[in-house]
Amino acid sequence: MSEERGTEDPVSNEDRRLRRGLSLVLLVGLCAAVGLLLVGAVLTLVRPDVGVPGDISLSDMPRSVAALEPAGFFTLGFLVLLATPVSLVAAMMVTLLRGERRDRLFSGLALLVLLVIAASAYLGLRG
Amino acid sequence: MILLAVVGLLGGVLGAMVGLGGGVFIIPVLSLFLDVPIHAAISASLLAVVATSTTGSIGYMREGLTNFRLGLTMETALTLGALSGGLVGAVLSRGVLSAIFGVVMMAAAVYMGLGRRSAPEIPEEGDSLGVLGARYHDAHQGIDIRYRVRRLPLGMFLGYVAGNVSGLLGVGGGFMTVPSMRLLMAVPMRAAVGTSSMMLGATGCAGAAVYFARGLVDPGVAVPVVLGVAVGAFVGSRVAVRIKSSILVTVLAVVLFFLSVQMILAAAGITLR
Repeated sequence: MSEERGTEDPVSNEDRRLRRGLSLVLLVGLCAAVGLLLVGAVLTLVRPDVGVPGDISLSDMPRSVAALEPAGFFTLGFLVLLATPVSLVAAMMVTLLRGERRDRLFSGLALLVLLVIAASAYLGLRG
Repeated sequence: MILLAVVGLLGGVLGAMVGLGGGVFIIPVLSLFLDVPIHAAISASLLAVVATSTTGSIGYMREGLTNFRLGLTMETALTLGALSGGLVGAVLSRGVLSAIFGVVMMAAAVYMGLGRRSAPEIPEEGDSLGVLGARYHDAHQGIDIRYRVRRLPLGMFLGYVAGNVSGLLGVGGGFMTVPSMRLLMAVPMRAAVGTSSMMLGATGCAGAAVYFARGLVDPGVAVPVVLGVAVGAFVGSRVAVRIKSSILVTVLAVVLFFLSVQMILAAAGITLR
């Protein structure tokens, strides 16, 4: 892919760096999540005696991972998966604010999105 | 297990190709045809939306199709809509909402499918693209496409509504954001798909986190669906950048049409089984 492909307007190295950095954040998060889920799936096959519960618990995750139980790896995999888009928005906020253009407007919008996601999760958990 | 992964795979291909999360396909198939309890279906669908968004966005970002600034702007409306979804849900029944959105989606499907494809006005070289405008290279046509974003307030209002509905129905909201960007905001199809794909991850994440923390995720359902979706979205996003935009529009129109029929039937209390 040439450097000119798909460049946001105005063309700038900053935008290219932004695209590369953000896609890397997603790639790392996705690979880690899929890897953990696959480890859990393999453990389900090689340790059929352990079994997988119908639901998964956050509080039990550390013990479950340490005991090499599939449920622990599934829980951790889903956690990493959910953290990935949040990390993307956080990375956008920091990158835009620290960039050459000091894009405070869009950095502020990213912060607002993060706050709303946190509020949604909090209110949802409270029922 | 394999059947669940195949459902995820198909949802991922379709979702990533047209900028949807895939939830509008996955939930009905899981709950209507595979007898998966609705909470397990919705939680698996929301996790699948996050996986589709993440996988699809990697490719779209590298191709330069994602408009970050437009995505962030629309994302504020989407997430605020999702946050207030509970309030609207208390006022309007799910049946009424399904009927309203079924009719809106059918209108969008017919509009997109029957030729009025609202070809975006292309700014002259040197014209300002505005704060939210962008350009990208269309690999299929081999040319650079420049566009300016129109009717932002209307687009944000529809984004708010999409977020609202996504929280209620357990889907990402792409079935509304892509047509809105394409038909109303003059965003070219590929850019609308790439930008929507990025936006859906954060929206799906908030909903999925609640199901996850409440212990409503059934790994026996969610794991194969998410793994299938990840593979499907990888394939779908690569196919999408190599085929004609008009084919993407047609695929989206057909998907929207079938979904709208399904929503209207559901509103009338008729299930497809």
